[in-house]
Amino acid sequence: MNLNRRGLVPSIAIVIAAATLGGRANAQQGAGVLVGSVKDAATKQAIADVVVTVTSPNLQGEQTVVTDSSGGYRIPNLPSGVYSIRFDLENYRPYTRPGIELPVDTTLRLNADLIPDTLQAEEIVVVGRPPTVDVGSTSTGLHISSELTKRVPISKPGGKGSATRSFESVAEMTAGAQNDGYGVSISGTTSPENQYVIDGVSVNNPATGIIGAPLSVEFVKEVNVITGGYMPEYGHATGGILTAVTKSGSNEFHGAVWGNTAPGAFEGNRRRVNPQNTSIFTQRRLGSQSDIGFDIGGPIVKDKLWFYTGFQAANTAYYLDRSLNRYEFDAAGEYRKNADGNRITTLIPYTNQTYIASGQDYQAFGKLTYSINSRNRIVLTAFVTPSVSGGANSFAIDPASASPEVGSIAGPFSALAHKIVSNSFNTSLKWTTESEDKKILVDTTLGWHHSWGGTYASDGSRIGSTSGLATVPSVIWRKNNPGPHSITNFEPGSALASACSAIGNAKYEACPVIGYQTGGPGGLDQEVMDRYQARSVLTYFFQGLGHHVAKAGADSELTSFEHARAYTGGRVYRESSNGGSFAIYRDYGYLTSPDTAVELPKLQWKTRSMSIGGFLQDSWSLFDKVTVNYGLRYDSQFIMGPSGAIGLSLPNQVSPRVGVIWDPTQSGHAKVYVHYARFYESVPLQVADRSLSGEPGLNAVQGGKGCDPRNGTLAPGCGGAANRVTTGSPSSPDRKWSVVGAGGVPIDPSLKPQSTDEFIAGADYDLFKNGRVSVAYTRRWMNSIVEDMSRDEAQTYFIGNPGRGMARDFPKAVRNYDALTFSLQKIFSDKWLATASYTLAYLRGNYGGLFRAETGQLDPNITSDFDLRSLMVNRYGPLPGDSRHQFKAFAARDFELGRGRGIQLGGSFRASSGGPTNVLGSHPIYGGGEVFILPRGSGERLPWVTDFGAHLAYTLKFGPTQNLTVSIDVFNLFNFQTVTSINETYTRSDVQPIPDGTRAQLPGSLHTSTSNVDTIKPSEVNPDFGKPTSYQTPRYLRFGLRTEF
Amino acid sequence: MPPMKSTSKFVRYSVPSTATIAALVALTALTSMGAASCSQPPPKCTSVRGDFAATYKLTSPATGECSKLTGDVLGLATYNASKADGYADFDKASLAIQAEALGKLADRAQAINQPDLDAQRKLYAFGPFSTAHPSDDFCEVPAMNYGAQQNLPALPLIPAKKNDKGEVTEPEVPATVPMNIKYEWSNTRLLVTADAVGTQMSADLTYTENRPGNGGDCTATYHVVAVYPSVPCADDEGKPDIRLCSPNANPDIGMAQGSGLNPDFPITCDPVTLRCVLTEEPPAWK
Repeated sequence: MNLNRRGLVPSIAIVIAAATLGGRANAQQGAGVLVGSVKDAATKQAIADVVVTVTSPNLQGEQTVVTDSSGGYRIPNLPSGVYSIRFDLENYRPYTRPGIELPVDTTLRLNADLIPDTLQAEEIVVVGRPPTVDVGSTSTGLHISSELTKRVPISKPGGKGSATRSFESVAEMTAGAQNDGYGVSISGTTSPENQYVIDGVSVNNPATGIIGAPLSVEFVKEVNVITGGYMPEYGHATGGILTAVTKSGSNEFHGAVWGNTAPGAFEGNRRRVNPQNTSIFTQRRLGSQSDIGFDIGGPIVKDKLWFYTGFQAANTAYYLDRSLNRYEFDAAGEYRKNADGNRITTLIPYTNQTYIASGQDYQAFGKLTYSINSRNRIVLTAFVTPSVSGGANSFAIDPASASPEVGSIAGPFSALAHKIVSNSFNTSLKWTTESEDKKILVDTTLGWHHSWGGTYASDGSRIGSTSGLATVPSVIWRKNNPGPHSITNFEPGSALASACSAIGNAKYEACPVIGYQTGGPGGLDQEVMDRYQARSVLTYFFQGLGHHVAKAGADSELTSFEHARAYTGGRVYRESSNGGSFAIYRDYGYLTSPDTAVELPKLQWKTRSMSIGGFLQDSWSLFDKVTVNYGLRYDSQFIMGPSGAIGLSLPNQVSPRVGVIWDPTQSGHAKVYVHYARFYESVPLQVADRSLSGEPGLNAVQGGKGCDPRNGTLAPGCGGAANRVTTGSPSSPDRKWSVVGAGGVPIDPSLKPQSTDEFIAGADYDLFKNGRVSVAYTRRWMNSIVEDMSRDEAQTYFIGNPGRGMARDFPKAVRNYDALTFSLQKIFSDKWLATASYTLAYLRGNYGGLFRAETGQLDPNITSDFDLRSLMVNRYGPLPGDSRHQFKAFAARDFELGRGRGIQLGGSFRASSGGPTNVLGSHPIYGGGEVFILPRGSGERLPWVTDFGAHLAYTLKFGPTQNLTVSIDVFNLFNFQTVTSINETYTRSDVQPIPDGTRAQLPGSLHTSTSNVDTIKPSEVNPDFGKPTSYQTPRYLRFGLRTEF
Repeated sequence: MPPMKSTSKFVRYSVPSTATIAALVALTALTSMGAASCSQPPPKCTSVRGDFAATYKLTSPATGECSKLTGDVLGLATYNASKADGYADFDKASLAIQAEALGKLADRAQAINQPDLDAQRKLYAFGPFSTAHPSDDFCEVPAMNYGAQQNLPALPLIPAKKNDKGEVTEPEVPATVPMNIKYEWSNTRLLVTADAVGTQMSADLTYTENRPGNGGDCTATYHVVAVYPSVPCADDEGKPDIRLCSPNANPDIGMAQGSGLNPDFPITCDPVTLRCVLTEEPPAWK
């Protein structure tokens, strides 16, 4: 060592800091880990017994550990924040490195070379680029930090989750994720298949599987969207895992006050689709969507007890513009059409009326973080999300889809409007404890998700009310033989009557209505749902031919769904197709003996599910060169019907998961990995509520004379026995009543639970500072699915696995997803960030998932998919979520203007190729749209949908941590209005599918269902086939004002 | 931010030792993996609601008009008692059986305004299932609470119906003398499995005709085998056509949908009743 160089800058230890983006395999949910190894700078030998200490403003107290014989150290269970790390050992110079940014749920690798006291002068300075690759994990997905969500436009107004800007609405930024009707679909699956987790506690809706607590991003520190490749510690999902880690207090008081508004006045011009067979036009536009809120966190006892709390209120309003229109006829009496082939209509003056659909969402959040000592920490959180929409003056907003509850206002407000209330209360208690040497960590979580709500009549009356709309039966009008009603049959006014009178030799009704509703609003319900969860995970870090991070865990979950249903006035009446009689169409009840009916005022029962699971896994760094992740998960689920006895038994769900990771650079700068996993579905309780219990209902026919509820109320005696038409046949014991749905659906004794498998291979490379590029190939395929089926043309049903057991003559369920993703991620540093991805994907099969995208039916495991073998012809092909190319890019840059002023500029770009469309006909039993005339996907592909978004903000700092921000977010900047769905009904007649047919064979080879010779007539081809039915949502602006301290 | 001074690292708080917790968690993880499997719940005793195609096999000596029955369409339906809370008790089910032949006679009596007004005499037999769940795949109604019974007046002849071309579409139905008819069912058994929930039935029938004042009282016993649904299999010429019994649609012969019969049932087209019937005694599987 040359003494002369001592005067220069003192030697510094080598630190190769690694900020990783996704250390999920090694980190507990929400916690970060600091690992590394310490070497002697001169000899390059590992040093044991080095004292490693970390501190942070987000950490209560400090954490300390010593290096093992290989020089390795590991400090787990660290909340995210900025850390300072210090290395101490006798005879070596202590080394401290501040300013280490540890994001949520990541493993940071920080190696250090300590300089011996004896080493003089000669600096050994090697400054390398910090690696960003996490070499311990095979998970794919995206970390979405609050740095990203406040710099790019998110949660488009009017979309699902936009009212509260809920954390799951940002998930679609991830490669391999896209919005479906009820949430976000990940890796070709459907949204009810995901697990939605907040602070380690599942918040799925126990009945349907979609999200049950849409917590605002304001309270969330980071959202982790895991699309695949995850270890056995995550279960209960065949989709992805969306986990949110909420904010916490710290040793200083920090908080924010915010307000946002997206005024409908700035809505871009919309392209409209006009109906073709009704005179009622209803157009929707956004009124406004606004929210205000605040949060604050800080110490109660410094380093010991912190608090964080917040509140947000949001309001959403849509306008529904209703008008009445008459159709025009030519000299021959046929409809006059415009150049596009659409029927020409004329607005009838003074029939415009604007209705509102509005709702309010509130959220209140609270958290306490308590450090018992340096080895034990407790976190207690609680939050509520009450929401209410609709009422005496407004239509409601459907919480599942976030759209107004009506599409077409075909009836008076009182007959169609509801008040919908939906609340959730969530609480969790999390206790982490560590051994002295931090080699053993136990993480225990108890959680309770409680939700309640109901659908009431618009005047607030509910199931059991003795007055109000809840006591008025609903009447459905549907005459179509020989022709439909005229609007004048229902709505008064001489001007309307004269506008709608028959003119010339018009062959059709000038002002037709199809499906009009009067009376009360029909179906009401009330629900209470609970999920109790307990989970414990033990992590053990030890050496043995390398390093191991082994985990063992157990979790249990008890869910319940108490559901009450009723019809207003006890019954729904429906007009017959010729208008001559009214059937009792919906009426809960049963028969105790022939024609002896017990009509029930409501159906109410409670169904339950119990799941227990456990797992063992190990992440083994073989000789610290290659990491093997392997593990096994076991789950079993039992669903209990209303009687309390087991209704569906799904045990022995064994999920093996194994992966290998190799770092060719051996320094955390790159990795190549493969991973195989099996996932099992956690069946939501809807199947128990509807199928296992049956929904006992009665039908009867009441004569038309003396029972014509034209003025909205039924004549006295209309619904009584004296006016009941004799039905049935000489062989029927019942001649007045008939029965629909009773008892339960039997289960195939050899039923297997629903599962899917996944294979992933990929590589990451650390391209530039704090940024990396990756490529990943994902393949997912189904094993068995659980669905209800009938082998005897809808006479009897059972629940089984298509393709095996009782259902061996059904085709197996197929859903194959292949995707190749290229992505680039740079976390926010040096004032800018970027996230971009391109995915090339194929999604093919005959099974979409837990809801039917073609119809929107959300009945997990009991949809009309697979019901009959005759429905399965031509069902294999590209599935609704199949989008061949998807580009997503987000970028943001902060500019400082001096004197505390700054500008933030952010942008988003999304482009996805269009989905497939089908050619559909009617099935003799199941009706319209259920026959795939040509193989799935044989229709025209929808066009590309492109969307640019922009974010512009002006920031003013008026203190070290205090600032004020004014922002504008623009969604769909150029107001592109591409077609997003088309009419897929080729004919409304009952037809046979053409197996493996092509468009060229239509209509000449399209046979009716009753003949192999007769084909359909040209007049039976739907003239609206292929026409657009919806367009891209228009441009919106959201203004925001925010102050932080 | 400068590092904070910690509180003493060595203060012992009264939390369970880490080793104990670790052992407990590992134990729970391992025992949860050894959970016993449970089987699916059995179906409940019930029949399908609707028309069954029945064949009657005479088991008493062949004497008189009563022993000429060959089969019929039987309407079966299941009913449930009420529980204390008012809901249907699916563990307490009862069965009703109505013979179409008797229903048609009653309709004819109604048409001439002479129905049987005694409410005690019903067109159907009614009796409880003996168990809530099947045993050995069968649910039984050993005895009915009451049988079907009707007192009928003399009924006029119904002439044959002809179409425009003069062809007979429905044959002539002969006149009858006043008759009191009884159907008494016993040993009724229904096949109830996950694959066939009450779609096969067998029973013993005692059929009695009482002709007051006209003589010719008779009674006969039959063994009845019936299958759901009742599917007619006569072609346009009135000959049996087994293709009409197929569970699959057959547009070649104008069948838009399958017959609705379980594909695993052994079925033939009975030449006498011209309906699709089981070829074996229940449990009948291919």
